[in-house]
Amino acid sequence: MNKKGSVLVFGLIVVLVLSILSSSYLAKVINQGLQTRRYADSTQALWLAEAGIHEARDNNLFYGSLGPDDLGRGSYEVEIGQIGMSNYYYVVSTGTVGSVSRTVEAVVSTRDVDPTKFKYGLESTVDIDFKGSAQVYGENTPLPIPAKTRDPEYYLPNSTFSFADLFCFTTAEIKAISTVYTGSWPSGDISGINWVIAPSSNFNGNVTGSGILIVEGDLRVTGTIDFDGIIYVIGELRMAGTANIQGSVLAESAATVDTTLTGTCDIEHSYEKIASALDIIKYRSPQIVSWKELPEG
Amino acid sequence: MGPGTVRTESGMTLLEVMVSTGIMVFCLAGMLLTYSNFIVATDISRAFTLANGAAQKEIERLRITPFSNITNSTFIVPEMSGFNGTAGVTVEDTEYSYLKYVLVRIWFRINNRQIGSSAQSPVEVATYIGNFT
Repeated sequence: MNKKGSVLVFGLIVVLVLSILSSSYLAKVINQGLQTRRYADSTQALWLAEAGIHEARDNNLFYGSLGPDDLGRGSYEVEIGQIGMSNYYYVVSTGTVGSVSRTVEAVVSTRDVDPTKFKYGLESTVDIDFKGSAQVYGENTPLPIPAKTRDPEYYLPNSTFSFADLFCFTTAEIKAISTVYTGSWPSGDISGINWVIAPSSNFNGNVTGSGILIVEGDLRVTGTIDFDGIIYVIGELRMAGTANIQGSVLAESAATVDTTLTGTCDIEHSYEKIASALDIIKYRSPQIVSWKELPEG
Repeated sequence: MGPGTVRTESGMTLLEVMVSTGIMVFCLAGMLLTYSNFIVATDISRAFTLANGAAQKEIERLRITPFSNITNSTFIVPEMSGFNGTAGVTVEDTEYSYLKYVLVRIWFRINNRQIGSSAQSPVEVATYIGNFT
């Protein structure tokens, strides 16, 4: 038997087999590295898509598109539109990192605020006491409106109502998006959403504006208020100064003290002014009602 | 070997054995080196996967954190203790008051090799987090 050179041949065969095994392992390691990289890019792309959803939702964007905007290692772009004529909107956001893209679609809804819940020019949880030349009326009040008109269609004493039901926001939510005055009365223009933590003193200043004014504490007016929109008092309400209000005034009082209107107090119920005031909060903090990731392509 | 015996060429010369052994040792040494690199590469992949998971987990945690409590932080990543994994959270205000820019960055060590730092890292996740109010 001739065994010449068999060790070399055997050795080469072993090396060949090991090379083949190494090659497949090398391929596996390379593939694993690529997968790891792709996973990282995919993770970042998803969060970029989420960033787009947040930017659209938290900035009350309900139409059109955003981006592409760069963020981190990639970019995102967003399309937004209304679903039918509802208060639901779709937000489609795509995050891209390198060659990896991920797309998510969220449906958001605005708060279902309803001006018709504010049926009265003046509504109070306690009795209402009119004095002086105070008057309350609305669009159905026959013209011309005589002095001291107190149209019972437009005021409601001893009512029950809930802040959250009327505004579709909790007090904490509204407070969080309000301009807050703590322990001092505002003055000048107070348009927008304003929350006043009432000081113990009477309000004897002068304010004008429109929107929503919430007073946490007793509001005793001896100054001048010229306001379009909704005034909501979480406490005792006494108006003795000069008030010219178009919209609705609500007093949610735990006390048994009557809501008192005296002086030159003119409240005209107006759905138009109420609706304008509610529009300010309607599009704030829309809620995500559904979320899904769309397949690639 | 006696007279009349035919001498054959069967067997190996010392030179053949030495050359064969040399080639095999050389090849095996190369392969061992390659395998050790494979092990390091696998470790790196594992560390990157863990780091990605940790970054994602931190973003998820921040999303349910009260908006005002979302602030810069640095902490040890427990699931990456074998890699000295550290996470850094960078929070920046945006032009929108209800939106914060959040960047979670993870850095770690593998076999005395530092991957990333608090200033930059191959593993980072950036997003916006909005105020849910």
